[in-house]
Amino acid sequence: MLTIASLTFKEALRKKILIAALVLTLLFLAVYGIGLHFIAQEISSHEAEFRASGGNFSQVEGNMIQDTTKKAFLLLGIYFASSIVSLLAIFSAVGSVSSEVENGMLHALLAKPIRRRDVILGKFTGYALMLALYATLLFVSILGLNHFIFGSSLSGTLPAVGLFILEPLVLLAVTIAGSTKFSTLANGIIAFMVYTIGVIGGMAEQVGAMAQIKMLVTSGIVTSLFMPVDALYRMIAIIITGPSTNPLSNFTFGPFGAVSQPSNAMIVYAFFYMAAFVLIAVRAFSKRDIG
Amino acid sequence: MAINAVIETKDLTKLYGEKVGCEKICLTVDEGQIFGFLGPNGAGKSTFVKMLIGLIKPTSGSARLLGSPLGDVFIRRRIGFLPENFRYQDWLTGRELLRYHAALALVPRDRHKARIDEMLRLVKIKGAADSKIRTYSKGMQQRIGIAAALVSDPDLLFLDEPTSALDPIGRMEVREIISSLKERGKAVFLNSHLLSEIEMVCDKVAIIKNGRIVESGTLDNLLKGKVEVEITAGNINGFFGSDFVRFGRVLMSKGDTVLVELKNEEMIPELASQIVAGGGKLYNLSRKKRTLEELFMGVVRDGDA
Repeated sequence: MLTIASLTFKEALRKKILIAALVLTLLFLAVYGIGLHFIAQEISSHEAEFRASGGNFSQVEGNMIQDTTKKAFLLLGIYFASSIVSLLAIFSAVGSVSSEVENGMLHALLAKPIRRRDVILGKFTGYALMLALYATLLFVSILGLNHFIFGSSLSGTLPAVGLFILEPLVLLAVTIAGSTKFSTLANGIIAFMVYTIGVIGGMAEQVGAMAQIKMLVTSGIVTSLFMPVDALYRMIAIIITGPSTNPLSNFTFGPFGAVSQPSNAMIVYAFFYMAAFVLIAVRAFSKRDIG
Repeated sequence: MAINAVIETKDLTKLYGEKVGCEKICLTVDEGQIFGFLGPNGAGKSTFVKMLIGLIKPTSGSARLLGSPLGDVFIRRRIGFLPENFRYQDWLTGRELLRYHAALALVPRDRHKARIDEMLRLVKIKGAADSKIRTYSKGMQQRIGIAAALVSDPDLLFLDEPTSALDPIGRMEVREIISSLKERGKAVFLNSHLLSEIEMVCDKVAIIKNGRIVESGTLDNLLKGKVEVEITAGNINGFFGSDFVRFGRVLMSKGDTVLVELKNEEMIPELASQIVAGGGKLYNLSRKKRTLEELFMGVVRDGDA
């Protein structure tokens, strides 16, 4: 299994998947950092203007607006980072089994003394390592930028990073499972659709919670069970924005916030969900004829 | 010392719904034997090999490889396989690919270097060992595939069309590799369309058609087949008339040359002495040996007309 894992990891490096992702991520972080810089400037100049004009806001209200704006931009960054890392999980593993069956690369490999389950577990481990590394770098960079420019708190970073890593791993398990059953193209479409349904469901849940439409909240919870990635993002949002004592937050964060808060049980569910899809991949691949 | 069977199959069958992949294949390959498996496209050759390798599961029947039942993963330490549609991680170098295959085949780590160098020398690719496989020609990729199949020094080697991408020199080198494996007591199961190659290296062959084995045996026995003799002689008028029926039958007659089929090979010297005794002038008497191609074409075309 470790041989396959190391080969998969090397493949990601050699095929420049990780390097291309890192280069584009630097571009994303640069654009995001510039955006944060100008927002910080805007906040300072507004603050000065208020003070000069003896504005109607109290110090507390002013701080509240600033805090909400900063957190909204932090969440915006994490939301897009979440999308990037999720798509990286799908695109890197979409043909992990199917393309190697289609082009015959697995034929020589499966003639070796290796169990099919070890092939799947090895591939999962290799990709997971690459995604975990990438997700950690991305998440820490976004928090670092916010800390450096806005002076945002870094409390809760560790559990948030853990959840941020779990997001692509859940999608990775689904994508590898699909790759054992479907062609590369079909699997790409399916995995992307499953992810999209999860995201739309999560958005609908937040809008439902803001507008107090129970039906939307329920549908969001159901889609979280179908694809828990968005629920994990909402939990990250709760951890890094802290307890919701700020009445403005819920509405200002909009669909990027977590008005409807997922239960902690969702973390356990996500782990089981991921394990279940790895198991599905192992079983499907073990039964499959490699023609 | 008793010779052990390295492949034994009993009624091995693979059905794809109504379609037959292979049906009731029974064959035995002994250690140190080179076995040629022939058949037209779509006859079921690759299906059969893939069942033995563990890529596809049989519908029914059983098989043993090196004494172990199908599905025994660890016996594959002693098996090598070159797939027909060989394709390897082209982002690796040749040396890295062999290292990877050696690790997968559980070759002890301290033997990797020596074994890999030996394989690179054997398939004559040492100069390109540190180049990416994507830069290799098709023939070089097939050579590195053979090296990957041999890196664990297997006792049983499956080669599916091993020379399809090679030039005549490369083919000769692969034949030499196969012969050297035989000398070391290894068994080779060779799937190939190249009948002349099979004829040159194999001890035993089987011909598969529409998923069933239609002919099998040692190459010598199969090629002996009918006893056909070409005779060139003078003054033999009447010799091949109605009395000839006790020897066999006349297949063709042209001038002084006659092609006959005898009932058995003991009749060859008798026929010669009878011609001479009857006053005939015997210039030539030669037994015609069938080629594998003639055998193959005869078997494959039989019933297709």
